[in-house]
Amino acid sequence: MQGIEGNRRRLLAQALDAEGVIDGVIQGRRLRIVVAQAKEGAGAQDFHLGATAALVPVAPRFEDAFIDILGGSRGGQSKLASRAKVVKGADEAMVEARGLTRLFGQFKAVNDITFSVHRGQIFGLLGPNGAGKSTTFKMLCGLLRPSKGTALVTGLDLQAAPSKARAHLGYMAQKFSLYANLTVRWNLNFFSGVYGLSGTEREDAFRTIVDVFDMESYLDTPAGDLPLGFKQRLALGAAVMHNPPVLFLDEPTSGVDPITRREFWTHINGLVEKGVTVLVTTHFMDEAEYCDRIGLVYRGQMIAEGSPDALKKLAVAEKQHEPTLEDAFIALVQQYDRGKGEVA
Amino acid sequence: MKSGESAGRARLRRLKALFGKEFRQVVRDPSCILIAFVLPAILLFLFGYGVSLDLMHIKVGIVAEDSTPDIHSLIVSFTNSRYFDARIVQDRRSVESDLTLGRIRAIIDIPSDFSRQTARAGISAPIQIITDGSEPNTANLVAGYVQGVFMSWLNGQALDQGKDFHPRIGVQPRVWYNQSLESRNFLVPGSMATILAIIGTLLTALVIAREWERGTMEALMATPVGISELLIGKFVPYFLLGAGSMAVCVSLATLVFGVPFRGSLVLLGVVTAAFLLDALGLGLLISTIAKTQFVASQAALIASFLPAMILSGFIFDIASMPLPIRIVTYALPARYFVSCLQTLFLAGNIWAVIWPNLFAMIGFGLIYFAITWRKSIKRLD
Repeated sequence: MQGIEGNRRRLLAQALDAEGVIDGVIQGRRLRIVVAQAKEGAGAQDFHLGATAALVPVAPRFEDAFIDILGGSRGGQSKLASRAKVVKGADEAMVEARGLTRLFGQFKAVNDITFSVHRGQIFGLLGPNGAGKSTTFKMLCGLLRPSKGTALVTGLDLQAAPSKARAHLGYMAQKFSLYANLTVRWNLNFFSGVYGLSGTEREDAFRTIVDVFDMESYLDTPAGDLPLGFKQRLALGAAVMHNPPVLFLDEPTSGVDPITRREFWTHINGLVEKGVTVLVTTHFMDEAEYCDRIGLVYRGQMIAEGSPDALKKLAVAEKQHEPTLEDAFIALVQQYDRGKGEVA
Repeated sequence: MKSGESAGRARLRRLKALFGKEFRQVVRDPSCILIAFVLPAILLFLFGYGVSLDLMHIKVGIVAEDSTPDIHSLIVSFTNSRYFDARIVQDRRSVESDLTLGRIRAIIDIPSDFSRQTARAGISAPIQIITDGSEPNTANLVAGYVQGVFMSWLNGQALDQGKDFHPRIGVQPRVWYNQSLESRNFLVPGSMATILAIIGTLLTALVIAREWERGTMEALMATPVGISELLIGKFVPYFLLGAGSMAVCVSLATLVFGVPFRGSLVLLGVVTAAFLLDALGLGLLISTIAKTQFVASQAALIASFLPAMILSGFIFDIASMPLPIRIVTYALPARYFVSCLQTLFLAGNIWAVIWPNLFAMIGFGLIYFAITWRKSIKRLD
């Protein structure tokens, strides 16, 4: 699907709701959708994708078959997002890193990283293990004190007003970090409580999470005994209970199946449509495609930043005509290493 | 969260959520209940029944080389005494090996010329006591007891024979506070300090380390919960649990062991609260520094249980310790608590004793919390 105009997230949601669509993902400016056999040969307009959109057939992938066998898409609308409050406000920087630097002894884990994420955007931090993306991430949500530089969330300095700034963010850790020996009910009660919810607001938030993530039958199960997919759902639920305008997701979908990953991204996309700003780290290149902008972190530095398509363009000249994001990623890292080699 | 009032309310809600969570975790974790309620009962029974510093029925060997009526009556006074459990032999050699092997604590040798010696006036104590010096305390006590029995026998002999036996000074011993001189009466209150030290420190030492170990601290620190709230949220639930342990201890001590309680319960509550401040504060401090629950539990044992046991004065008298160690005991909150407990149980509300101890305990508590607070901030770096 090429040449789409307007909001790709909204279009994806529409496409996923259309009849005959089994699966769909965002690939930079394009959408990749999998259609049922009965609908083969249909035009872009059949999927409500706007006048300028054009379908370009591509070869199926292994994952497409997997998703098909498992029953395909669960629709493109996020129940979570539909109940979320709209985050109002101008197009301003919601998350800002200003010269963030972090030293561990003599080792510079993060070296002078600067970027900002505007309202309603998804910003992805990409990079190999140990490149410094988790450290950057932790400084941005107040879990780690920067050695130098400032981290701001909704304009609030995380060092100067930690409690206030943290009230505006939701955080989903990479490692399962809810109370394993407490039941689902108590975990949700606890997190709604520490975010200062009470009364009907608290009950509504609780009901929403339970309904959206199908938690009813697990309410009295200790969180540690949940299947992995539900653990992640619960973690996401706990992070968004208080309707945070900014969401930090540290590898939110590592270890979950493709269907649950689609579901997660449906929720994330839906929330972003409501004006939520998302900062995400991931290892999955196909997930990075969902991001509006990507920061490539390597050896503690941000070596490239831009939209997925722009990053791919940077790698075009190298070898391939149509590089994937992974190609771009590898090319950029190699470029950086070569550059370093020349300097040294 | 715009005005100060609603910020306060949000803080209260967060604390409520933290308390609720902690209580849930305690209820769902049987080991917490065991530590808080079963462990104190077990320890109290151990200290109450197992540890006794009273010497009763000491096994001794009496060597009687002759058997005159004098010697016979002396032997009867030993066998009648509740302090001695005597074996009578004719030859010293047959009990010497018993002493060496530790089967008896002392040999009382009544020589064959005993009757002749006592008949002559002015000669004192013609008997020999051999004690086992490898246990000096016991040896001293045994020697004292034997002399006591011998003196009263001499006294009786003199009266029987119509002789006037006039010691120059008459000593009338009278014991205050623990009239029956039962060691249980001061061991049981003293042991409560050890029990609370281990429970308070162990429980809290585990809780923060557990949050770090399981990764839940990360989720918690990404919420608006601040460090002071986190510490209060940990302190209050375990404070109540510790108070519950103390209630179990006091009930057992008075009802089961029959230890007298002469002070006021309110004051006992106050000094217990002050000591819990120390025990929990130390636990939270360990918990903040230790990276794993295992390290935290080891540190808790070494930092609280052992010193409380050995240096608090509950078993070993502080006054008889060498000066450097005596100085060390001042750095130990348990010592102040033991002093308070023994005073409240046996003597009553002696304010002159309670005040300084109370202030010392509160002071230590504040120091522990201040360090913990600083370390918690540092740890997030």
